[in-house]
Amino acid sequence: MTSDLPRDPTKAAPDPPDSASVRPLLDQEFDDDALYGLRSAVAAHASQAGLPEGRVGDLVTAAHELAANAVVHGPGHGRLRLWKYSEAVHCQISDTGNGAAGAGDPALWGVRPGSGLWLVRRLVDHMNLQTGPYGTIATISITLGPAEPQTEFQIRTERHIHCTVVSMSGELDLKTVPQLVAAIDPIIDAQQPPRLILDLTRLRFWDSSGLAALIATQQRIAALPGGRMVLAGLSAQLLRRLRTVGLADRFTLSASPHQAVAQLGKASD
Amino acid sequence: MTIGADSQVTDLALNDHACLTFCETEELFDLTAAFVRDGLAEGLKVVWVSDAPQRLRQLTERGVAVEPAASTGQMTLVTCESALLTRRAFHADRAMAWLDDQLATLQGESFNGLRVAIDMSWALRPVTGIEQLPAFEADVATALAGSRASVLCQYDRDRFDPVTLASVTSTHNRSVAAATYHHDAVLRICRQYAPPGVRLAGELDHNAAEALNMALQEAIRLDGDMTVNMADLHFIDVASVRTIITAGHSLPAPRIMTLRCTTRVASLFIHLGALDSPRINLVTVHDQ
Repeated sequence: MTSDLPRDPTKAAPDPPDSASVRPLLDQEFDDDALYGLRSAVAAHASQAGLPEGRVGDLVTAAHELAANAVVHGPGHGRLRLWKYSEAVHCQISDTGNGAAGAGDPALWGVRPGSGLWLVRRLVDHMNLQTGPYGTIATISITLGPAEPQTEFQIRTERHIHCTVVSMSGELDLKTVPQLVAAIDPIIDAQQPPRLILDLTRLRFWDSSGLAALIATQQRIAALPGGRMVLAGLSAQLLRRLRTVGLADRFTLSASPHQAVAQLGKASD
Repeated sequence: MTIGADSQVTDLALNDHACLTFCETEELFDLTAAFVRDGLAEGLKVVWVSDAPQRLRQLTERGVAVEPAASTGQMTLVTCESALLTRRAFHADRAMAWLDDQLATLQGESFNGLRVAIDMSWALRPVTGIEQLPAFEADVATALAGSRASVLCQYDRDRFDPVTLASVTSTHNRSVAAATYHHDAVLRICRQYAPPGVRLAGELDHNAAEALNMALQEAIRLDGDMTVNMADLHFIDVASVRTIITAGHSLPAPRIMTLRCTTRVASLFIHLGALDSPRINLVTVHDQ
C-alpha cells in the first residue's frame, strides 16, 4: 500500500492509463444520496467488462466502502472512475479532502480489523491509497479471469483411515461455494473427530465468498472436539493472497496432500 | 396509498374481520405463519385459503407444526378454487355459503373457535364477478358478529389498485401489517413474526443505521431466540454488518441470533467475524 502524500490530487492521482485507447467505462461524481445509483452503475459496468458475478459483488462492496468514506469522513462527495486495462478492472475513488489537517494517519488506514478499508483489502487484488490535506485517492483493481473458465469447478472426496481429502479444481467462488458446503456436511457428520484435508493443488482462484467458505469450514471443524483441517497444495499465487489479507496464520498449511495425510496420521497416533 | 395499520398480526381476537396488507410473498408467509401458529396454540381450528406455492413447507420452515395439526383436522389448507370460485367465476353468495358451512361445522367440533386466512391474490387473476368482492367482505363482517370465528383477508399492497383496497378496507374492523421501521424504493426493514425477529430486504447501508438499530433493539427486548432474515437483501455495507454482529453478540446466553442470508451476504458476515460469537448462528439460504 502506498501512503505518499500527494501535493495536488489532480496531478498526483494515478490516473487511468493516459492513452486514447483506454477511456473510463464510468466517470461519475457522487454524494450521499447517489450511493445506490453508484453501486448499480459499478455493478453493470464491471459485469460488462467481464468480471464474474462474485467478483462484481466484491468490487461493488469495495467501491461503496471507499465512496462512503469520502461521504462520511471526507468532504461529503467525490468522484469515481472505472476502467479496464491490462486484464484487470480498476476503480478509482477520489475526494478533495475536508479541509482538516489530513484524514488521519494513512499508516493506520485499513489496518484496524473490521473497518471498511480493512475489508476492502480482502476483496480486491490491489489497493493503492494516497491521502493528504488535498484529499484521498484510492485505486483498487480486480484481475479478470480467463474469458471462459478453463475447467469447470470439480470436487472429489476421498476417505483415508484417519482423515478425508476433499480435492477441488477450478474456481471456488460465489457460484461454487454451495458445492463445497454440500461436500463438507456429510464428512462432519460421519467422521469423529473430523479431520479434513482440502487439496487445493488444482484450485486456480477464489473470490471473497470462496475465501469465506474456507474460513467458515475451518471454524466449524475447529469447534468440534479433536477436529482438524489442513489446506494443502496452495499455489504460490493463492498463498500470497492468503498472506496479503492476513489469513495465512489462521490455517494449517501443507505443501501437498500427501504430506498433510502423513501429518494428520501422525497426529492421530 | 398507505393504510393505517393499527394492529399487529399477533393482536387478533375472535370476531375480528381483519384486513392484512403485505408487500412481498416472504411477508405474506411470515404473517400467515404467525396467524396460524397463534391460532393453533389457542386451540382454534385454522383454515388457510390460498394458492401460494409450497404453502406447507413455507409454514413448516417458519416453525409452525402444520403436519400434526393437519392430521388431527385442526389445520386445513384449501385452494381458492375450491372455496371461493366456480370455474374462474366469483359469486359472493357461493363464497359466503362456503364460509357459513365452515362456521356450521365448527358447532359439532371441540375446537375453541375458528381462524380463517384468505389470500386474496385470486382476485388479481382474470375472474368474473370481481365487482362482488366488497359485498362479500361486508357479508363476512355480518356473519362473524356473535360467532366464534375471525377472518384475516390478505391483500398484496403493491398489486391491488388503491380504489379496490379502499373499498374493501372499510368493511374490516382492523387493519394489520408488519411493523415497519423503514420503507422506500431501495430498502424495507420490518418486524418478522414467525420466527420472531427482523426482516431486511433490498439494499442496506449507513443511511438506514437508525432504523436498523431500532428494529434490532425492539427484537432484542422480546424473549427467546431471534432471527435476522436477509434472504432478500442484495447489498449490505460493513457498518450494518458490524451493527448486526454487535447486536447478536450482546444477547445473553442461551439466546441465539440466527442470520439467514445469501452466500454473498453470509461471506461478508464471515469475514467480519460473525462466527467468532457463540450467540450467532449463520444460515445460508439458496440464492435467487
